[in-house]
Amino acid sequence: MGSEKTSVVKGKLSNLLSYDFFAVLPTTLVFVVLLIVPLITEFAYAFSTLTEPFSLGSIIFVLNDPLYLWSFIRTVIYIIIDISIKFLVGLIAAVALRQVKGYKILWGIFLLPYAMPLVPALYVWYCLYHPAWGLINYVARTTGLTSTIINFLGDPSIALYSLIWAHAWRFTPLWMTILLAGLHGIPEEYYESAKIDGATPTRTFFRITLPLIKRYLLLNATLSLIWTSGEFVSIWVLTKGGPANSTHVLGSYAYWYMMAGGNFHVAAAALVCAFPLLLVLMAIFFRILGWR
Amino acid sequence: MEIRPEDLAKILAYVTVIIIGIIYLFPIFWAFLSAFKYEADIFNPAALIPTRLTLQNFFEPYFKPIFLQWIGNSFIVSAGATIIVILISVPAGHVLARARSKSYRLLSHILIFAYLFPSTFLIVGFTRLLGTLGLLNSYLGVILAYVAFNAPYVIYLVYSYMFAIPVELEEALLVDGYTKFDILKKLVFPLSFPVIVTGVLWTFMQSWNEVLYALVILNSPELMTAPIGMATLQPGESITPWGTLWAFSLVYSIPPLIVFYLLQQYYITGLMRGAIKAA
Amino acid sequence: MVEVRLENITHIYVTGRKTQTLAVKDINLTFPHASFCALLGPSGCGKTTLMRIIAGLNIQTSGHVYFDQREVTPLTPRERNVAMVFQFPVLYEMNVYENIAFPLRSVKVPESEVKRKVKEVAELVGVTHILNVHPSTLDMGSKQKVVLARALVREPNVFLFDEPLTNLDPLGRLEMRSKIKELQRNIKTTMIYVTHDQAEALTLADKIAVMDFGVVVQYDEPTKLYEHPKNEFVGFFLGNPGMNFIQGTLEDNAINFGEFKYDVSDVVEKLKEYGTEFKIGIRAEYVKVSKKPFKGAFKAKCIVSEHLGTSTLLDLKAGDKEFKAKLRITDVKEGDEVYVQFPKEKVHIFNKAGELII
Repeated sequence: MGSEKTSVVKGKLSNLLSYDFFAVLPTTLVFVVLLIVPLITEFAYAFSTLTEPFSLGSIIFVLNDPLYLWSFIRTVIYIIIDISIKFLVGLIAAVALRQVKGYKILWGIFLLPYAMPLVPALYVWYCLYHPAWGLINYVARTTGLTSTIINFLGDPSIALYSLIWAHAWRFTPLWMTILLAGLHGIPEEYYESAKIDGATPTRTFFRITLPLIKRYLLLNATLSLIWTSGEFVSIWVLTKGGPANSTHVLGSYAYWYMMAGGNFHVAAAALVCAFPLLLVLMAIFFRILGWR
Repeated sequence: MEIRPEDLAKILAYVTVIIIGIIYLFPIFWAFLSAFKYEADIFNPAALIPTRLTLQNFFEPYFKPIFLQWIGNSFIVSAGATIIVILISVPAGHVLARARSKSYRLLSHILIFAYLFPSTFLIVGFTRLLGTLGLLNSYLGVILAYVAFNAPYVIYLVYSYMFAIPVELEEALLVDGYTKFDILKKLVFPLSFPVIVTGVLWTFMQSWNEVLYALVILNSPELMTAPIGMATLQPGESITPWGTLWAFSLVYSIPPLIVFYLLQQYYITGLMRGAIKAA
Repeated sequence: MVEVRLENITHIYVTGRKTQTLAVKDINLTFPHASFCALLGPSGCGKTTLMRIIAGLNIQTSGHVYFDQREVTPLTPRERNVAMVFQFPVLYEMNVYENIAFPLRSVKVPESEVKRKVKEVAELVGVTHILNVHPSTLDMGSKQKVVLARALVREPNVFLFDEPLTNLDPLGRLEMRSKIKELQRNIKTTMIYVTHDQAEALTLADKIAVMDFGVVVQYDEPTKLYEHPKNEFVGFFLGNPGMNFIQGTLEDNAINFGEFKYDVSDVVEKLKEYGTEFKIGIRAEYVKVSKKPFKGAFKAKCIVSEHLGTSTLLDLKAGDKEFKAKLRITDVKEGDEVYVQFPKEKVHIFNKAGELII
């Protein structure tokens, strides 16, 4: 009787072990082969140069290259302005939408910039930004707002911001959705209690509503910062790093050195030197995750 | 006439919605309308509201057959990655969620770390690895990239979702003599339907839009995915007819729009669930 | 504290494009000042709607709400100065002090006043030691205390409770109940309490408005409601178990229930005006039961016998009529034959529709 039991348990155990093992195996393989190995490879490339296998040459080059340093700074500017636009406009949109009839349908429609593919969405702005036949310039000139042509993508002082706007534009509907979902999770009783306590809608919003979803919002915001730090597409599609290298960010810098410059080592070094930034942001994310 | 603050808020809301509508919808509308315009009319402000429309941009000589091939490539790569991601993520997410021993929190942290890490920062290492494996300029290479960079997030979604499904269901089946594999098929997959849909949506959309890896990995024009191919048309120089580009974009946009709008219900519910958990 | 008077209150909810729901119909109620009144009824009876109308969260479709002599319909909840306690403790993301100060700050009370009032109320409720604490760390009981403090700090005209005990475990429920009773004694404010739990209402309230399907069925003191229910609904809803109702036919001078009769010779003339079908109502604890036969008793069989601690609940059946009896500890078992009598002074006679006649 006893041995029967143990053999059943043992059978179950081995059954458990092998199933669980195979269930997780593909994931582990993917993780190790497709993520860890490339990571190590990248470090290897970063810590060597075209000529020497073990050297800090690439890293030194990168850290002394003003273009790299500016790319780094521009990346930081990019992610900050990007989330600010997404959050502010998304918030205004979410709040306004909730007051309006038929908001579910409108929500779906407003998601269009996000639902449509990324590259065409960027090309839309390429067309709008065009100095000669872009609509923005046309409207600005005919309504008398400006007298000169605004060269959104060709003027080094504003090109980066034009890019950021296009990118933020495309992702704002996502943020509107994130905010709507967050607001949706707040029980009606909080608003009623605030009403009874005599708080104006503004006061209710800033002192009661927002704090209730603080953790949720900050988590999403940090996520946005991290994910956008690797931004490449918008730069490459709209300006290719120009004009006069004024729109290069980390991603495009690395890409350029990899494909045009033919130097994988410098590219790898550029990326690796930005890891501290990533780690800091991720640490913040985990810290917020631990709240409550 | 007395205007109560609630009414003022309502008016403000409607005005805001209209303004946002213009900024966020008009450009798309304009762009896609251009697909149906004659080339000369596209940038002509007078023809903003067109008096004549055409379908010429959708056919030869404007619309090249290779466009369809590019879209097909995007489809192969996106669908391939999606299927593989779902197949490996559901069992893994499920098992990880059920793991009682060791620190499961550490596991979830590793998952989170993996999906937080932006794919751009591994471009050099990953593509060199593919080079060594001889997988450059192939569908498989791109699919592997998309699997690698989307699986952690989907696994995490499944993992979180599993906590809502009581273990007792599985234990009951186990006691009844079902194998764990049966349980996976008959219980886990059906019950995880909403999160699987979210995972499909996520992976498909990410893959359909991806540019960097496709750009680096794929070199032959026949293999390129649509966004890359589109870029080779060099829009921006006056060489490319924009009408063609917009026609191409329209066709390229249809699959994700369909997928997105069909499945958005799940996506939003998924977001809400996450919101309620976090709020 | 004020007297709250509802005059011809009717409220219709518009839920869909064409759907309308009648929530409450033509309600006329007066809640005396400094009284504790309950709105009691099953889900959907309209009690919460009525409370929200008093609070000002919903404006009634028609009718008037008066606080003392003043019509408050055009006033906002804050202007009406009502306080409301919800089913779960609604606490803002700020420390306890800030939570309590919130209503005062919202109407720009000067800071020195705020400090004084908050301290005062905190002492009253017993949260002075946790003023700097964030509410998320507190237990349920303390949380509710903070909610009460925030409500009290405004010196409200009316205190509204929306089923505050529903989400508590039985122990917590008893604690909060006594706390509310204590509050009622210390603060002479009008309190209106919504609940679907009749025991709660019977213990706490001075007057109870029993509601069903949007109308007030009976509005009276608990004892009166308990002993003299106006109709079957009230009789059955109140009490644990509810009042017994047995249907029978008037024959000669008695109501015939098949296996037994109930003599009504003294009121038979009055009853004849209402037809021939009647229901008698008697509470389980007033049913006289004995194992030995006695004068005026009829035979019944015990179907179920439940021991409830200090009493026993019996399900009895005579013929096809079933009813319950509640006795002190007895040794009547299932299957036993017993002798039953309904004492005349405790019997109420209702017509077929369930309305009280005698």
